[in-house]
Amino acid sequence: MSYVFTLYLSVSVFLSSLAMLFYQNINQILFSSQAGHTISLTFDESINADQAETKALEIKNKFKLKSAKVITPTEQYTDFIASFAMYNQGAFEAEEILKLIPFALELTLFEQQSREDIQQSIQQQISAEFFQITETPDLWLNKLKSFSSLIEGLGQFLFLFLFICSAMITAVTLRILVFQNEKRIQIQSYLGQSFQSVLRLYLFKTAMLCVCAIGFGFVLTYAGFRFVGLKISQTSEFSFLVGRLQFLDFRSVLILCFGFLAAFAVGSFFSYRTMYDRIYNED
Amino acid sequence: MLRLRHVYKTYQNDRHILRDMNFEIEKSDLYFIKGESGSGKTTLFKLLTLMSKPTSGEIYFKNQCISNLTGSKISDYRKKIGIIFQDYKLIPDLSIFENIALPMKIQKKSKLEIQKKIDEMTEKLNLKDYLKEYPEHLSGGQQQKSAIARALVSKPNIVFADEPTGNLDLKNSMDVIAVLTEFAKNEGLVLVATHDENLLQKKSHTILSLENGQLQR
Repeated sequence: MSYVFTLYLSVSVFLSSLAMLFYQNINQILFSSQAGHTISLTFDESINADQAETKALEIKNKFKLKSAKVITPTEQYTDFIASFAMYNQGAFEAEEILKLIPFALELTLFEQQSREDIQQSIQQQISAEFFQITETPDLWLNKLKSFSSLIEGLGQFLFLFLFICSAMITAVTLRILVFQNEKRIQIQSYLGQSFQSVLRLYLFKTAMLCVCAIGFGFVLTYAGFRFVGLKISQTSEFSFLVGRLQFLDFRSVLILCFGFLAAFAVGSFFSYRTMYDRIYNED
Repeated sequence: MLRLRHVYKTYQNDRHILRDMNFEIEKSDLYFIKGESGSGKTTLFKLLTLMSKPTSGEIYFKNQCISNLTGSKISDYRKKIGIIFQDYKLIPDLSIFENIALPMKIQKKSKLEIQKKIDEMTEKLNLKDYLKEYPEHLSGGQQQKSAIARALVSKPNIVFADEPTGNLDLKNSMDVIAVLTEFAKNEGLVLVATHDENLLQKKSHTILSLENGQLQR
């Protein structure tokens, strides 16, 4: 039973931490890439570098933005070539393309600023003659946000479900451990040993199993995380994600640990009365 | 020392095992409690050792009501008593020494004191040669003597013995009773529940009779 308990708890911790890890990384990749906190503008082709810098400063000050960075046509071209290197077999003529690329402006907002509000204000207050706002795929982003919320909800449900199951299996394990030694405990109780002092030993044993199981669950998750990271790094399409993947932060690990230890405490509490009655009341 | 007031014990099928039992034992001595099988000897024994609670009524030990004790209070009471069972109830994976030492370990006595008291007790019961043995390697008589040594070694106020000679031959039975008699003379009260006629023929002890749920002298 001890093995089943340890294995079950390890798998529970593994599944819960996996769900949390997945949720955190989805958020990290999708939403902290500043997609929600940047606005890109493209200047009219007639705007030169000095004018672009002046306008950038004006917009930054007017809307109290974190930063406003002018992106030159050359920088844009370099990024473009880097992104499509595998298709660039001399197909792009640099000079011709550079003529077609206007200056661009990347505005970075503070956390508390609303992208939609700022974007609307820029459109209303700044003359639209010399720039246009590059539309970001809001709909796509919103869909991903919904997906992220769904994962969060599923993770919470999974955690709650596993919490209840863990409490129940803790209660059963503790009872089995105690009842396996029922006769011995009963004899000790006839000789004056208190039930609490007997139970303390079995509680300690079960708690140790619980701690080992939680530790093993996290080791499994970490191994899985490293394995997935390695696999991703070997693919050309998604290798850029590797740098953004993060293991569970300290807060999440604490939440999971306390959650499963709380399940252990709840399980122990509920089995106490049953065990006490069986040992002390022989009616 | 021990007093029962209006004690009833009724089981779920409304069978009254003990009914309005009133009894008082003041003097430390050895008392036999006799009764037919099913007369309630074991039930009374369970009530007095707090393995079971009376349906109603009170049991007093040294003027303190013990019938409603719970948890650690039960343990405290049990530290003051010794219990001897017909089936010995020795712990099989402990040696005879460890079994006898158990109540003193629970009472957190020092190793020196434990050793001293076990030496005294096993000398008296001729168990010295078996201290390292495990219960399964001993005869019934030796196991019962070990159980008696365990019950007496911490010098309890009362010893409850439920059919202590039930599995023993006459010689071993008499040895056991001799040890209990000596304890009763020098240390405390001993209550022996039995239906062993050989023991009951000894006129030197008080015999209490359990009939129709009542205890009578």
